[in-house]
Amino acid sequence: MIARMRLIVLLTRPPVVVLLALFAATGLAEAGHPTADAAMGRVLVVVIGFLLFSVACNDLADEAVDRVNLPGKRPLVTGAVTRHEFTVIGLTAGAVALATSVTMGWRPAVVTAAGMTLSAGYSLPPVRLARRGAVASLLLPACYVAVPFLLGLLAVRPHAGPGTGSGPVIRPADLALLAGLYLGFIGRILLKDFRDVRGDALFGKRTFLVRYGRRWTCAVSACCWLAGTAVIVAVVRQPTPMLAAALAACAIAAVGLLWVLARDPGAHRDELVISAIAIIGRGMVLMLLAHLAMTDNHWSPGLSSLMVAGLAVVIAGQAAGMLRHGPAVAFALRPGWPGRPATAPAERRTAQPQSAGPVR
Amino acid sequence: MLNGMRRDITRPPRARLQSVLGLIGIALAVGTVVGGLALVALAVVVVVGLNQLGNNK
Repeated sequence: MIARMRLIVLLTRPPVVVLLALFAATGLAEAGHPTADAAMGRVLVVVIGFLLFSVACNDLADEAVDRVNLPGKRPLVTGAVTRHEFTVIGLTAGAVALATSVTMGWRPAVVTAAGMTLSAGYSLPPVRLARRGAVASLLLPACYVAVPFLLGLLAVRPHAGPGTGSGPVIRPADLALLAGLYLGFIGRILLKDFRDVRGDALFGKRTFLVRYGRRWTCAVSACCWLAGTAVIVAVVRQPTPMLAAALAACAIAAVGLLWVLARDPGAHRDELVISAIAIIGRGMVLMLLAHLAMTDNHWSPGLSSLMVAGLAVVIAGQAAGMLRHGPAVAFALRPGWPGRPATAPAERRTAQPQSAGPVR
Repeated sequence: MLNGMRRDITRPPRARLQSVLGLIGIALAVGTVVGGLALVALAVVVVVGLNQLGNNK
């Protein structure tokens, strides 16, 4: 039973849950309710259900590719869970997500249903947008960013709208902020394919990286980073000079790391650079969330700036630590997990294609 | 010399960096809780923890 529960937790991919929760919390803060813990709890139920549904679709569709890209790291590949079990888990999670979203109102239900449709279309045939290069990189951030952000926003603004005297439910400024987050996340999601490039190329999964190569991927990612940051700084409520400076510094650091990545530093270095870029990206969202929450809670600009500066120092230190020393803990299925043999082979740490040729 | 070596072995540069960052992180988390933002404090702690794992998203 404990093993089953651990497996379910693993299936949700905890780091991704954290990421989606971060966007949901940003949605709550953007709506002016950063301390609405009960609403956040309900949003998390929807988000986790939505994520499990998406993971099930993705892992079921990509089982063969994952055997090459992530040997021993996906439950379906290790045999920890059968296809039938995974299908049941995915459908149940989807139903829970949809049912919970209905209790929040029709708008959250529509957002959840749309997100689940996109997610299924991303992974499953006959659509399988994941195999279609740029489209996949545009669609996945919609699931990762827009669904949790809008759910967070709508969870605390269910009754606004024309006739209620409180303006539209989703305001232009909300959408502009979402656009900034979305653009920035495209810049990050383009890089996730570096890890998977070997299997993707072997199985004809024409991701942006497989299609256009390393340099173009890094260039487009840099453009997204800069555009996303510019939009966020331009539209965020009551920005302080410290917030603008911190976000700009993050974007510049990310572009610098992309420049390093474009020069093909080697497979292991690729991983560290991409992880450092992800740390910076998460840090930017964290700073934005903190800023919005502090603004809503009437913190003084000086204290607010101090908080943002402190976060920037922590994030910069962690990114630098990742570049120099790598991850503190390898997050993967370990020997002893359900279905994984106790004497598992060493994890493959290279992302370089072999029979598929090098990434330009 | 032996003492110096032991210090090098038991306390690598990463540990020192993490200690400093951890202290700043704790201060930020406490500050946000005191300031009425428990959710933000939780987010800071969780994201800073997640950053150690090498996640690529």
